[in-house]
Amino acid sequence: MRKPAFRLTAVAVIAVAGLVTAGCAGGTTGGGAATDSALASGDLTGLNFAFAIPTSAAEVYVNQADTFVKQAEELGATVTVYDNAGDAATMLSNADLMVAAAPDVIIEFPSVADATTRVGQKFTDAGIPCIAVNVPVEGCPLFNFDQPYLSGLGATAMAEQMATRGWDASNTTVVIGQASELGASVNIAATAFYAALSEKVPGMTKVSSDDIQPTTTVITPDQGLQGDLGLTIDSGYDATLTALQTIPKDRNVVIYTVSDDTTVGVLRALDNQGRTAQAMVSGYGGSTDALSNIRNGDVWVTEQMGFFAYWGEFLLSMAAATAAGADIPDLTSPPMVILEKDNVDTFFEPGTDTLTEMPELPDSSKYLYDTGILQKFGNIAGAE
Amino acid sequence: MELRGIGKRYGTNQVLQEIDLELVPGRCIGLVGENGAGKSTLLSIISGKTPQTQGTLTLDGQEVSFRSPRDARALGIQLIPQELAYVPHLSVAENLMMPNWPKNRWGVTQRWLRRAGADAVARLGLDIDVRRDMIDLSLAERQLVEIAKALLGDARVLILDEPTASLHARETELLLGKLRELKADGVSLIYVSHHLDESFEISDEIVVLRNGRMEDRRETTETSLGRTVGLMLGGEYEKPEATPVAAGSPTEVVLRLQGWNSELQPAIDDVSLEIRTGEVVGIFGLVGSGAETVARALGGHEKRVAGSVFVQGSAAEVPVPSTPRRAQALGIAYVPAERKTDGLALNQTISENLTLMVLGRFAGAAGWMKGRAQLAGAQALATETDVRCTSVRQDVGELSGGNQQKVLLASRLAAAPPVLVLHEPTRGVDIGSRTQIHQQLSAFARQGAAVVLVTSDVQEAIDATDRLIVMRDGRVVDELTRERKTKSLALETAAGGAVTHD
Amino acid sequence: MTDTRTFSLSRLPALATVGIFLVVVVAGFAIFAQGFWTPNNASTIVITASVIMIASLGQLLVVISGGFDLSIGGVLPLTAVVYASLTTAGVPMLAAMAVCLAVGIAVGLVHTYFIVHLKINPLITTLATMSITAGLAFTLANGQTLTVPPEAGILGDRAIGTIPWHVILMIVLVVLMHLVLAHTLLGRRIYMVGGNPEAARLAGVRVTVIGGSVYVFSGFFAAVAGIVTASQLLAASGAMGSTITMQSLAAVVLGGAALTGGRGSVPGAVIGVLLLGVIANGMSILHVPSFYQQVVTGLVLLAAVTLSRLQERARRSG
Repeated sequence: MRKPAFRLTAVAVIAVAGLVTAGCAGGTTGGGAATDSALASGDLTGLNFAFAIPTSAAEVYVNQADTFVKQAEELGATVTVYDNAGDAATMLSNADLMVAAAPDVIIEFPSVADATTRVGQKFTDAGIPCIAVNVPVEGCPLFNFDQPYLSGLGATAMAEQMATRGWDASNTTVVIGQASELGASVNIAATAFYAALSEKVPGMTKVSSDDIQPTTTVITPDQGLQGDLGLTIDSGYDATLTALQTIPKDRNVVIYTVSDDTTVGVLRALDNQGRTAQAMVSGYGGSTDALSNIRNGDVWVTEQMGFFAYWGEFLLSMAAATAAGADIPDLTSPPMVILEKDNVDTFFEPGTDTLTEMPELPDSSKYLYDTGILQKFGNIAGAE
Repeated sequence: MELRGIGKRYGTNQVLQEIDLELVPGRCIGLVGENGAGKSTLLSIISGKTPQTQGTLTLDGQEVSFRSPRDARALGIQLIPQELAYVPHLSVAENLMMPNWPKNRWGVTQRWLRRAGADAVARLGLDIDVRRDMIDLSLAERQLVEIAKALLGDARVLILDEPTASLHARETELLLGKLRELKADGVSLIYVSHHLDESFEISDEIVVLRNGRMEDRRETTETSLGRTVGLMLGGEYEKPEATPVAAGSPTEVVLRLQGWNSELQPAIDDVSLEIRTGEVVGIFGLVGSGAETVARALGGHEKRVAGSVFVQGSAAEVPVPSTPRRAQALGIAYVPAERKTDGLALNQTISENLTLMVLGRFAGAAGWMKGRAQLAGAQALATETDVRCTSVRQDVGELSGGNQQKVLLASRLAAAPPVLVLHEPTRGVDIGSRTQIHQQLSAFARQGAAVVLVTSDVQEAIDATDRLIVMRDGRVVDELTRERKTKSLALETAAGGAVTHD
Repeated sequence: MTDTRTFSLSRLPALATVGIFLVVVVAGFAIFAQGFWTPNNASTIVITASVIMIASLGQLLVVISGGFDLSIGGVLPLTAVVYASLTTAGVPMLAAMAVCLAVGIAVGLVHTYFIVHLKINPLITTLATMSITAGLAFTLANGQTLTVPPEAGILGDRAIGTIPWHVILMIVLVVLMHLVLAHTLLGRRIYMVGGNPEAARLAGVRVTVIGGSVYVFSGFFAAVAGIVTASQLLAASGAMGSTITMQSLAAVVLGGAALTGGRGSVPGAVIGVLLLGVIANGMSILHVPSFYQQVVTGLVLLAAVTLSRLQERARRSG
């Protein structure tokens, strides 16, 4: 008697759980394709997008998704947001849910690097157009920073700052911080930065980006180190404290990170060790902390900026172009710039982090202007 | 099977030497000895658990060496350990069939299991529903199921290590009966027990071990119980004084139980008792008689017992204590039956265990412990109760069973309670410690306390008490004193025999 | 000093072994890792270890009592975020700290209710509360990284000589907890309850009170760890402290605590925390890639527990 009753309960529980999950996911269904004429005018009425974000645990992704949803809804489209929750299993189940909901375009921002093949297959099999964001997904055109290009810009800016202060290979150690959890597509930013910097700083041994493996720790003795600084404040803090022990006190330090949270931790560690006067730091992302530090401080001097928080409108344009069947290149990039003390206020209102205008899109991405969507926001050069 | 010159050495420690035995079909060897005499080591060598360091084992004239108990089992040698090994949440049938569950395309079929299990149980003449989970059976039933399981494996040699330690008189009789049948079927038995009377009853030959040596080996009919005990204990055996009757009889009622009832199994029905200072009162009953419920309830270990308690010196009656703390407030200290699970923290030191109930005595302001005073106190207690240890900072788990039991008893005596309740205090304890414990109880009672000894061991019930209350089916059926306090009358009464004396 | 707890014959060897191992590791790094054997690096190790040490104190109490607390990894970010929000909103620092400690204690009381009174497995209960508290931390911070005003970071910034306040706080807490565990009634009873709760109950120990109090302690220490983290970093986010649960468990086990309860000590936990910290620091200085560091840390943990098991076996059979 007891066991059948138990089984019945179990079945009921599973059924209810299934219904709840389906109910949450199936918020929006239906909709139709926008016509070509509507596209040019930036009208997205009736279009339906699915947007999977890597995790709701970090400020940047949430902001990005919020912007995307707000802007899409202003133009008449509907959006369902999925949270990949930072792990591969959730990402896969979200892919199934998105396919089942059959939106016009799927925008996939993977939570885990290099675990995306299956996800891409699901989209391809279902015949739903997709856009990969930041991390490549097989079968989907990618929207991302052009990492080597942006890191090249960053290295140029840093090399100039070093020259101004008289820092070169003889008195300076460069530390690049990877985030081991992110994989190659992000960490190439760090290695490309080092490679470009080694070309420009007098006396530095030239190294190519490919020569720096994830397990490399000493790139060139005395001159260059690589460390796992992670993605969070506490990991950046702890790792920097230790790294500084191996660098003699009389040497200057340049530290490059791939996330602003990490950079905040790096600054605290430099402060703790009393080495801020001999250090320069490059961040990545353009957070509030970054802007105020670049405006007011002398340590955090350069910031690689791909206007990540404003990707919403580019993704929206790219999604509209995809829905309209336009020809999409393999890599589409946002506007990219290096923020420094003297140019911050050309892009942001002085003293705030309110955007005034982004620089123009790179050539390969100029097709995004054609959708007529960017013009509606009036926050980017070249869209008049 | 033959054993020749078997010995075992651990490092420089020779725990067993020069053991010669022949196991003959249809014969039973009664293996006796104090704890630590080498019985367990000998058993693990025979059953393949540990290899011998000297001597040879031969089976059917061929020398054998076992690498594991599995090898021994394959040759028909089955050991039934004192601590049973079963899967608590599987059914009796599943446990019985464990080593060789029959499988078909869909795995194990429940119907087959049930039928085969029922057969096995029936063969031993047991009445157990094989669908019940092992954990739901009584200890005695679990023991019998394990024996049934061993027999299923076509045992030629069956080794029983303290099989009756948790059995009550009726089941013991049943078990011995079954063993006799097995002997008649040509199974060779080794019977290890502290209960010498059982060994004498079942065995054809008595082997006495002492300090790892074979002290004596003789046909059962050619030796006697008294002689065997003498050999086991060597010179240090002194017969416990026959009946330690109270000198002057101080009979103040310290505790009165009034109308205790419980629906719980084992149920009790309107139990009323008086416990007086200066005496050791025994409560004796077979399993299910309710004696254990009374013991547990006295210790505050049983929540759903209705009834009341009068305590000496207080006017009002109070309900049955529902927590150990309430029992203590009534002046009752309780020594639980299961030393390892309920009594001691084995991975703590002797000192901590000894002083557990009186920690407050060694604490100053703000709960600050006086470590030195505590150690000294523990040392004094250990000396007083003859706990044999190298230091009171040793873990209790490192002591032998008898010494552990002494620690448990001493921890209760430390609080000097007006009433001491003991539940099966000498189960699995060697005879030397057992005698010591009985003497301590007697001495404690003489100092003016009341001791309640709840036991299912009839020998203990007779030897260690001044007055014996016999319970059956949840009721007090008789009270035996002086010349009526005999083993046979106690057993008979507990088992349902004649009571009518007035 | 007669102290049955830390100097008992059976316990000393295990602790001594790990201690000797620590000395060997330190000596090894001192010889081979340049920049390791400096006062500055020593202070680095202590600074990075102080949060783990504080959290491990709570974990230790719970482990000795026979349970364990996974929720530390959630309570730490939650209290850090609460601290950041309150101080940013202008609440005085001490009041903000009090609120954080209250949050930690409240989580402990919730554990007490579920684990001790409803007898729900501590693994399940604290797994659930870890998820809840971490989720609340993200919710409260709105998924963002909050900043802590510099004047509220004095625990991390101010120092007496070269010793930061939070390190002094850590040392004070360590000494206090050692005294509580080794020299008070409460400590003795925690060991007894962990050794055998049923035996303790039958002997009249209030097992529910003792068994519950350890979770309150643990919540309290997790909250202190959260405040210290926020003060050290002048920032707080839900993503903080993701490894603190496992690190604290590893540290107390390295220090001789048994997950079955009844064993463990504060000096042991200190050695455990230091060992983990020294290994991570030394290998970073030797420029060992972080992947290998994880492997080595795991191996050390396995080796330590294997060793203590072998020793115990030798003691029992000898």
